[in-house]
Amino acid sequence: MITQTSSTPTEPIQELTSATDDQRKPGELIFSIIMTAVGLLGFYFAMDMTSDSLSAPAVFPKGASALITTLGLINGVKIMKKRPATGSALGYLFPRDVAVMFFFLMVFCFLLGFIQNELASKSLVILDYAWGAGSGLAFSISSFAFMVAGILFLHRELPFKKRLAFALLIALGALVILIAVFRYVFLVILP
Amino acid sequence: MSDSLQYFMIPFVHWEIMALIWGGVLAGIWVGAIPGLSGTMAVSLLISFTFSWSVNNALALMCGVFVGAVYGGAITAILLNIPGAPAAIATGMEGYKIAQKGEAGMAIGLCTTVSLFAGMTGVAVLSCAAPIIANFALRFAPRDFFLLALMGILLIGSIGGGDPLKGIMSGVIGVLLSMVGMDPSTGELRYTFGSLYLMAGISFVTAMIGLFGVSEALTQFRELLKNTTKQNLSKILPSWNTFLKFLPLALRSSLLGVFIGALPGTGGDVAALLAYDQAKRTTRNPDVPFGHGALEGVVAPETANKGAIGGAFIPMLTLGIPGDAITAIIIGGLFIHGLKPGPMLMIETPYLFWMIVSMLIIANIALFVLGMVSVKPFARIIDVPKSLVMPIVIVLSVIGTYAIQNSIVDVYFMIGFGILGYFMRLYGYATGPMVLGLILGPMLDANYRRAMQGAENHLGAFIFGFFTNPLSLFLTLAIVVMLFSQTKIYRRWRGFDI
Repeated sequence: MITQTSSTPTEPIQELTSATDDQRKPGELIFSIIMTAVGLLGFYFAMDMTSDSLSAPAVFPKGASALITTLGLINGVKIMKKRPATGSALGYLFPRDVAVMFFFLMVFCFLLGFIQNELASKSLVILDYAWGAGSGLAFSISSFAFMVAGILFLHRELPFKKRLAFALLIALGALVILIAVFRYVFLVILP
Repeated sequence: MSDSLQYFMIPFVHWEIMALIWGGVLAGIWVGAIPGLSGTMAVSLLISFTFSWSVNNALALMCGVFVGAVYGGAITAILLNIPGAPAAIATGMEGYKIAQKGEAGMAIGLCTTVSLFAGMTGVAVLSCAAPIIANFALRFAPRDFFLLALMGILLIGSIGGGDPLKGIMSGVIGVLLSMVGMDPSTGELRYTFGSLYLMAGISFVTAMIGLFGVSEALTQFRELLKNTTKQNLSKILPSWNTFLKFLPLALRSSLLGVFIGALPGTGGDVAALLAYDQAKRTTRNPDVPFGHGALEGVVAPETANKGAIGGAFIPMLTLGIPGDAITAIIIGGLFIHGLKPGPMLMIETPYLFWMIVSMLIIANIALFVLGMVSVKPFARIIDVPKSLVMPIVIVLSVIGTYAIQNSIVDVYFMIGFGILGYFMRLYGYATGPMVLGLILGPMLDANYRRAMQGAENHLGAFIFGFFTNPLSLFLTLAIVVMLFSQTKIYRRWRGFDI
């Protein structure tokens, strides 16, 4: 079964907001300003590059960043003409499910890097060696935790004990398959 | 002639070569379907793996993986809107819309059928016209590659969707991001801010996985409670009439793919995007409009990237110049096995040419059979609740990104692109043009600068060159036609729905 309303990457997600065409989406102006700032900063840093001729390394960076800035300003003016948004940008960008999964994602990234560093630099290196170098001890711990937390949260309609057993089972099964396929079939090194 | 036929028949009569091709195709389909795991990576792993094998067996496995991996990218693009490879970005734009209507099986079935046709077209051109096309491809000067990249950049209008201003902005930001790293021609550092990591540049595969994979997962978390559609898997094989209907487009896109594939430094990803664009411009009143699940939008890119496989072998086998990244690795493999790819390859070792031709034919047949058999199991992926699939997609994205160069920083970048992509989707900025900008930016920059140096930094001489060389003139006119075809005057003239 699939969701009917998700969109392709090429299309704006109209249905995710109640804002009409003549009304700003919450945070839309700020995002446009950030995009314009990318162009301005790009141009500023390109000024340090060699630009003594038409084939110099600075030509494309300057051209591209100038174009981004110009388009950003035009876009900003278009957004300014719309009616102000109602509701907070944070609430629009991060409804509960997204906010919690986003938090889990950040913890997942932190854990991945942290455990990998610990394994590489401390006495835990023996543990990593015992697990199998390149077999992804950091990856296994962090992704298992991420999948368990994610499934526990997203299936909160189930009773807790059943949900916990379900999450542990799915996460363990997925992890075993992923490690078997990637590490031992495709010979991919895991974090 | 009889010698050629003998060489051609070798893979058909040796069971181990046959088995390796089929096994390679199957493995390639899975590798291609997983974002981040690419055919390039798989073939480069095989180089060390097959080091001690006979050259025939090694080539059989590599050809199989190559063909399978190009096809596999389309599966996740259609089912989950997460392209397994850059060559499948265009396929996902229409394919996912078709899947949302419950017709994923039909879309993958059609994709598999036209892939067989395109693969065979590529092999036919390879076997009949390889030397002619190779010599023509060699005439491409930096100015022509610049024009070709410019044609690609103009696709932003086609794949941008929504507000064109935002689409262009997204594409140009992609171009700007592609400038990060050490300038290949002068060694000057651009936008590296003293970071060793940034010196190598930003991988467009990292960006693609983040912008499509993680951002799709985050978007899906908003919609977990929405209605669902049951997939219709009763009719997978397209009817003869359906095949005939798409045959002209498939032939056109396959030939475009062969030609683009034969150009050194380009490949199936550029070919697929160009083919999608030409289909969008030339298809009069499709049954379903583009952007809403047009089958033409699946047929064109998929036939182009399969045609590009045969095309990529043309300069490799005739001149020793790789057509794309995978053939570059295969050249390395041939060297390891004591062969010398180059103009003398076809004279000194003609058996190799005809064996590769027959291996590609077998691989395409295997692709059709294995692809058709796999449609139903693959289509079942979307029956699994999104709340289970999406956390696993994020974990898969991490593995795929880390596999590129075993760097945890790549993973952080990928997550960053994922968050950026999520914001972009919410505010109506298409993510496809950004990946397109990242892919074509280096090609644009490098070839513009080489062409400008050739014109001794005189803008007048640089522009004059577009009109004095026949090939450049042809490409310039093609760009003008592309721009003109976006106008209402042209569409009214050709009788399109405006």
